[in-house]
Amino acid sequence: MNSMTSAHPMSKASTGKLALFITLGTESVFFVTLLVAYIALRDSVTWNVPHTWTRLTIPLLNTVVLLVSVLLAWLSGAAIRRDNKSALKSNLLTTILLGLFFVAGQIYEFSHAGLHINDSSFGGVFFTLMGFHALHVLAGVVFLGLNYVRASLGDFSAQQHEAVELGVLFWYYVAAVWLVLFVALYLV
Amino acid sequence: MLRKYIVLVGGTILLNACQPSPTFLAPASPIANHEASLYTIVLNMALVVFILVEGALVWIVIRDRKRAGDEKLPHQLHGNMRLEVVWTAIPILVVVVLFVMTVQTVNAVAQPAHLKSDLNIRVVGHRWWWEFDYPDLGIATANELHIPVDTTVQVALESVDVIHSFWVPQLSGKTDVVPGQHNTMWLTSDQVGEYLGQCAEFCGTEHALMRFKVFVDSQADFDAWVANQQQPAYQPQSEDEQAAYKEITGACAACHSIDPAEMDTDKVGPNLAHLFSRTTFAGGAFDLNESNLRSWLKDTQSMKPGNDMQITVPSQQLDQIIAYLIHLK
Amino acid sequence: MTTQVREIPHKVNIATSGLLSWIMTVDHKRIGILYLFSAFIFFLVGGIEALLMRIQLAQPDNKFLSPDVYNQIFTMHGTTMIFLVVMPLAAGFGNYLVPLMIGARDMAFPKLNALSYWTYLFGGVFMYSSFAFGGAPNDGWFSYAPLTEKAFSPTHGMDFWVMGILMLGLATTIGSINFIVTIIQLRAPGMTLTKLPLFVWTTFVTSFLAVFSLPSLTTAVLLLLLDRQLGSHFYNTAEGGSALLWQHLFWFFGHPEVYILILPAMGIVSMVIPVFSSKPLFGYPAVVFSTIAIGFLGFTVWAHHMFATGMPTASLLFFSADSFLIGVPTGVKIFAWLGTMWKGKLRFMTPMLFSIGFVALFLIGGLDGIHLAVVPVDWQITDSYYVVAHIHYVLFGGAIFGIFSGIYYWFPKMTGRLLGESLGKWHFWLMFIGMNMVFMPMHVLGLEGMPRRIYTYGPGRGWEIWNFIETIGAAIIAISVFIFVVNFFLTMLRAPTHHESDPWDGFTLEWTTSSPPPNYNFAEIPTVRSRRPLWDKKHPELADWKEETA
Repeated sequence: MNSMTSAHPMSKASTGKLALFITLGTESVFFVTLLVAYIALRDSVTWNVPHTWTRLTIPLLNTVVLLVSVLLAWLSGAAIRRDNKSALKSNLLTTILLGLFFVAGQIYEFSHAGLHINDSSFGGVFFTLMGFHALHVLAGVVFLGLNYVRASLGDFSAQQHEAVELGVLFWYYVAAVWLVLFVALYLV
Repeated sequence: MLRKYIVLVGGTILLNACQPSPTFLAPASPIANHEASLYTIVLNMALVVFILVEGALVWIVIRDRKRAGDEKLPHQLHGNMRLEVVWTAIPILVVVVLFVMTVQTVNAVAQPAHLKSDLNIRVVGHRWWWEFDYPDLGIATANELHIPVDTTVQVALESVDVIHSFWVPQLSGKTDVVPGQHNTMWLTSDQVGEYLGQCAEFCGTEHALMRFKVFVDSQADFDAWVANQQQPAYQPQSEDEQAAYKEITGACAACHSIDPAEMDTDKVGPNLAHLFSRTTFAGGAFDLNESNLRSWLKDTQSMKPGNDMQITVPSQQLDQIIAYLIHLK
Repeated sequence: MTTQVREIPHKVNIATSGLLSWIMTVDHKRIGILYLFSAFIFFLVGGIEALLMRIQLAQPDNKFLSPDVYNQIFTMHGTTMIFLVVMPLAAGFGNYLVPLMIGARDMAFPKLNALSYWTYLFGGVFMYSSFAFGGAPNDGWFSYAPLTEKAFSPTHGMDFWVMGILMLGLATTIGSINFIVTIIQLRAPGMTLTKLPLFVWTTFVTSFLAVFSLPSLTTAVLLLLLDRQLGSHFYNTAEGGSALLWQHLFWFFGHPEVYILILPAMGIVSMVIPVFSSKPLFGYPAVVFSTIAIGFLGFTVWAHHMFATGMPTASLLFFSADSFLIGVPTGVKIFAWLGTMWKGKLRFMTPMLFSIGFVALFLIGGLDGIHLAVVPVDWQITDSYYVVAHIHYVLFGGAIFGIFSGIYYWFPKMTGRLLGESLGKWHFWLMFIGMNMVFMPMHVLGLEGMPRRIYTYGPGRGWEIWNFIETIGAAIIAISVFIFVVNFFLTMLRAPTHHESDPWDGFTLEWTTSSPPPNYNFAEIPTVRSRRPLWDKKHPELADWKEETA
């Protein structure tokens, strides 16, 4: 990040990675506390899960999309470690497109779920958890998008590609959160 | 013996012999008594630590001050493992003792199982007054709770709006009154008397004026009180009273009931059936008498700004209404 | 490697003097001073709010403030002192001192550091702007739902509060991540974790506490915002929401927050007492370990704020036991400070007075806190003035005294000028006396049944005399703060007379460079062999590294 820091004799681990891990730690507490709200309201008198809730087409499709995107994100990281810049770019681009597809799927799901944020406790929990997750997916898309631009400008090499690694890590995290939310909101 | 001691310690702390405070250190129930005894023990333990540590601090400050001209360096002591273990272990022992005492007292004041002989009461928190219902006796009243001496009182706590907290220091510690949640507590007292209570959880503008009283009555007094409360409200006699009655059962009835058995938590204001059997009004904020009531009905907002009674009674009706209300004994 | 270390890096500064140089700065020292200065202004504002409350409560049935105004004032007083004063003051010291103490040239992310400060300042100003837009927040600093729902708090006050809290939380999170990374990555050669100055340790632990507790507050206020603006019903009990959900989310943040407020002050005291006793900190490993223990235990005691909410007995006892336990590491610290002073050569300059005051007052806050962990006693004294007494012994007697100790101690480091000693002593003694006059009687009031947060009380309950004494005490505190402000201006207006880099005979790295330090802090990154590198340099024959490795 900073010329003074990277030259420092004590810094063996990556400063950026350390900062990202702590950020993901704080994000995790955020999602866990949202899940606490979910658990606290499950017994609520207005916990009305719509009867169409067994229709899992979109969520399952989105799960597959996100898992495939994780694989591609991983491949993009592997590519730049081998200094394969074109594979980095193509894999990043597909990951981004799949991410956008996921968000589009979520928007479709939101408008067809038969729920509103203000009509039941379940609606509130559903839109809050899914909404904040979708915002994180968008943040991930922006992060990967910036990396794609930098990759196009030739910023990355087998030696210098920390931002790629961080973007990929963030993408793993977004997918992991999705799996937890998918289980919690559709399967439990 | 213990009580004597508590009164002694309490007395020295309070230093206010002429003004009796609503303090649990002058307990009027076994519950408050347990709480006060435990408090006194913990206070004394704390005082011992306080004197030892502050004493050591003062002693060190005086003894080890740097004297003018003394440039010799003190011995560079980095620590002492044995001492550090000791001063970690002693507090651990102390907190174990504290915890054991806590468990004992929690058990001692635990709410007993319901018996047939218990008195059941429902406390409903409103912004900013207290509704007291006696479901088994068919009585609804406000801001002043009557209970018989030496009786177990089972209390159900409900709120129609925000969180309040029910606190009568001399009878019991507080229990929050949480909307959407059915909390319970219990009361009992071995001393006939009048005890002050107050809402203890901030509940908005007039939190400060959400007071109440608990009257611990002899059984005979309590029975008489119940018998009176169960009577229907005073029926109007004269023409003026009839006019007032019409108003009270008309416009006023949107917020107030004068049916003594109507335990309707939807009403915004307290039950008026036996208003003048009480000593205070408006959330225990003012003494109930004709002149205070007159000022109140003229302008409730200047006496208790923000309260829900945003009306002004026209002066020609005012006299009629007050003349009728004072009959509601 | 070594050549890179010796090279003095060129910092990119858009301007080097004037207002713009402060606005555009990314230098940790300037950001630290900005934090300290802004937080002190908010301290004066929060203090004025406290005085207004004390005037209102000086007599029974007083009509000085309307209930509505009083409720806004006490809410803003608590919110200000916690989020806009003590946290940013600690952040200010952290920013200024951590890089200097670990032998670094700046924080790990200087630009994020500036972002963190400006977010804080904007959040604070934003919250205060609510006074001009229909009323300030008025539901207390812990803003219990459902009182905060639109139905019961219809003004925009709560919306300002929520948005302000989100900004302040973001600022603190960014700042804390920066501290953690800085402390892990940028320590000078030889500065192992076992040699970190105590203030760095407490900043480190505090940062972890903030990073892992603030998201719970973020969740709490976001759900409130959704309730208020979009009509969801997380806390709307009339529609199946949960009132206690707010309390759990809030206090899961709120209790670690107490340690976020007090640990940095403990760090300051642990730096000041050794220097003015001419001895090393007694039992350094135990003090560090107790700091970490407080950090962990701090996450497990939140529900002790909720003993009266109708919790099951098993939960009551669990949280009670846990809260007792947290007293142990706190006790270890107090003993360590006494052990440090023991047979030292104590010099009672103002920083030392405030540190000794901290120990004396914090002890009271610890002992009355024990009462609150005793469940049956808590049922009586929670939500009474007893709690107000307790938090102020901890946060005024503790945090604020610790911070003033730090201000007097590091003022020459930051400005090259010593604050006046005699005015400093007046400041200390008046504040010490005033503080006890205000907050000691609050214990009595709580025991006498006076609930907190009431804008008025009736006569005849024995509360008048104590309330009156408290108001006089508050005036004395105000005078002491005024003396400090005078001292500040007198010191800044006179020509710097003190160019020494080391006026107190300090021990740690920040005193090895000039006062104020150059932009790059150290011409040469020092190599560290012990916990007191500067002591070692002054007294090679008594050097710590001999003792510590032995």
